[in-house]
Amino acid sequence: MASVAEVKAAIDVAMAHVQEGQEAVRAANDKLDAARASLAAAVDGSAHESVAAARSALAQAATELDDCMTATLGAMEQAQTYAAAL
Amino acid sequence: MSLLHALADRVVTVRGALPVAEVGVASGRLREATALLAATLEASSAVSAAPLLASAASHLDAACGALGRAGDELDRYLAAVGVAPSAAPMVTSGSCPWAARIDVLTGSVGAARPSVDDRLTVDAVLVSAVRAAGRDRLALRASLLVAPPAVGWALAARTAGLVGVAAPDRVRAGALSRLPGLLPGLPAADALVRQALRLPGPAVSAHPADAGAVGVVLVSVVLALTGALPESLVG
Repeated sequence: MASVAEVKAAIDVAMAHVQEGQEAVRAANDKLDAARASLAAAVDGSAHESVAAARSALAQAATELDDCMTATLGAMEQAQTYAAAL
Repeated sequence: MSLLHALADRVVTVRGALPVAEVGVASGRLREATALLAATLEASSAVSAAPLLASAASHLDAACGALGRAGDELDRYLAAVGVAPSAAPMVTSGSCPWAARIDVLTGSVGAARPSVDDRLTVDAVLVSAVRAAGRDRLALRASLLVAPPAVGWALAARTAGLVGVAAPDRVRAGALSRLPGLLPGLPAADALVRQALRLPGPAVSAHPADAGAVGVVLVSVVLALTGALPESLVG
């Protein structure tokens, strides 16, 4: 039979994984920002369609990372509220 | 160095600095958390943390795809201006860093790939990959390439909890005898195996796909030592 303490402990472990994931997303965001800035500086003035497509894809990646982070924050809030109410 | 080569170098540097590994690590962590939360809170309808985490992981899948497309477009740009990157691996289809890395690990860069099956779960890929690891390199490659990238990235975390049921030294010995044949492109095999088995050894920073592929081989060795069937890994 599981106890409240065991359920809370499992939620805590899951939240630790989420925090590690968030750290990796932040690191990805930092690298992506740097890559976008470097690319913008390198190809400034280019009208090549592949350059535009690459920059668009990188912008989408940044949006997806932001949306991912927002979802993890919501999940953490829900899980912590639930654990506190057990 | 010409101005054009200098420009190409800058673009190649950007191409190599895309945060594919970080996204892979994040995906693995979130899927681990999702599985744990789902198992813990299965009976509750009062909390939707697990679906939210699954949604977060799907955003990472999309980010991974976007990074792959960006890399492809940069390669096309370099080719169009006449300065193809010499170090870029040749792939026959797709742009997924997961698949590209599996090609490198299995020594099959440039070979045709099977289609990705988006319906596959982590457990389904685990079972088929572990079974394939008991056969040969090409079977292992195929079983890993049909996995959706997000599922592939999650293999490291999924296998980490399955290797502790046999003596680490025996698992290591078994893995080191099989890895050269199964993953000939794997660098620092012994260090990765030691890390996965929590044995003393040098710290190693590996591509996230490496840890997943090594994890599959380790689990196959564990099953060989214990006599268990791949199907026993799930359910």
